[in-house]
Amino acid sequence: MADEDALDGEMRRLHGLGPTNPPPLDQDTVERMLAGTVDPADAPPGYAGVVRVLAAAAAEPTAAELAGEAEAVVAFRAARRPLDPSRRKPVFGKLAGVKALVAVAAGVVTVGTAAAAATGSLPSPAQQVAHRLVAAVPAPAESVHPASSRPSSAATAGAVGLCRAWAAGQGGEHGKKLDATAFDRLATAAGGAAKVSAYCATLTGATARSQAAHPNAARPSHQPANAALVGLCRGWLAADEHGQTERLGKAVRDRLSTAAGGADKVTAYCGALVAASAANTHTTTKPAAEPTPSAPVPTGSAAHRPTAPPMPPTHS
Amino acid sequence: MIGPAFDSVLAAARGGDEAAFAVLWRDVNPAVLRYLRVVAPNWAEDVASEVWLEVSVGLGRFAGPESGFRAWVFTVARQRAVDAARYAARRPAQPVPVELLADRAGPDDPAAAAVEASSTRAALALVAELPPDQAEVVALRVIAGLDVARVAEIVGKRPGTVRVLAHRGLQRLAQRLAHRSQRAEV
Repeated sequence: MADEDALDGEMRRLHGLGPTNPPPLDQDTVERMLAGTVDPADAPPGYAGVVRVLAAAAAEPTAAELAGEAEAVVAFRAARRPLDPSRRKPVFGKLAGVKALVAVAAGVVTVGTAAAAATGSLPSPAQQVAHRLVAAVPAPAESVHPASSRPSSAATAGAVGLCRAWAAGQGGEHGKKLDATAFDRLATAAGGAAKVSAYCATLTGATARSQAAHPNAARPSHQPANAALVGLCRGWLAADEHGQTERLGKAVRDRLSTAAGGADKVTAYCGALVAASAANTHTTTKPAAEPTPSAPVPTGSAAHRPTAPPMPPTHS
Repeated sequence: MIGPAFDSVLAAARGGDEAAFAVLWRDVNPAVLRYLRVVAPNWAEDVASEVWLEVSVGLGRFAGPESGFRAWVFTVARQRAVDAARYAARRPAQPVPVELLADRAGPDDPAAAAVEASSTRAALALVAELPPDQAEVVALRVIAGLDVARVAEIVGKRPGTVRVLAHRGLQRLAQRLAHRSQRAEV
């Protein structure tokens, strides 16, 4: 383009035109240039370079632009877990952590909802939705610790979270009693309302032991788990189920390998970390950049936005 | 653009089909990233991730043709870019690497493929140097491939205004390129 533009500039100087005054275009030409149907050779005088720039801007996708597919699909899967979509408005803090948040959404939304639902702290429609989710909380650690001394197969991360919430309500420290539905679920798992206390003591004790037995994974329960890592771990476990961990992206795999102490330890590490975080969520104070435990509730998401969040339009 | 298959791809994605979602993502994400490189260059990739999460969440409620889908995705992208700009205290000036444009090889040059990515980036940086309203309209028309009506809807301006902004944007680009080539001569 340099030659043509240089020639063009030369012509203009000869004609006494400044290079800062490109000729106006007719609307049809503008449209064709925007649509990319003008060949640089046929461009209006002074516009060959513009046509090239527009062509470069609209060139075929690069590999880098398509590299995030696996992560996008993981986020898609996480966003479409069995919840009412209208309750799943993510709340974002600072943008710096957004990429991690996409992965975290899988983890924190689930975990946070379990704790919030257990304490009855969600608005009632969300509460109902959340109970469905609590019922659906998987037991990611089961396969990691097949020999652990869990009281029963109901010893899931969700049950641990319910136990913690129940214990907190018992003490009255958080001012939130476990609501009837959550308690019923706990009572069912324990084999009776009277056995909840013993069940929970056993369950949380077993969880603590299994964490302690896992040197890399075990974060003491008083330390907030790194929520970003938990989110990455959720993504890893989801991908691992399908044997697709290699599609997660090198940065994610490297980070998890480092955290786990080796690539071969990632699955075990993640299983334990996710289980531990489910147990910890109730008492964990999350950094400002991450979704609050009640993230699925669309409060606050519009607070910092000048316009309403875009709703998918229905186009005729 | 996906074309005639769009309706079935959308229906599958709305039903949770991950492969169908991936088709939508592959079709639109490059343009989303490029649009964001123009309007929010420091945050493009983070914002793009956020956009797709929001699209994933809202997909079940979307109904419409392909152009409507693209318009929706770019509406989300624009709003998240606005948020990004709010978080960034003040966007530092982006130096435009016009030298990359000057060195751009012709289509017959064997090195063309190698420089393709960087020339696209340079082109986006050049568009980003336009006044913001012109830059955005040019990006939405050229990169997102949206028509005047859709762009007008997204940016909240009248179609006539969108046409004028695009025209001025092209003139301004020509001006900058001419200025640069003149400097190169001297």
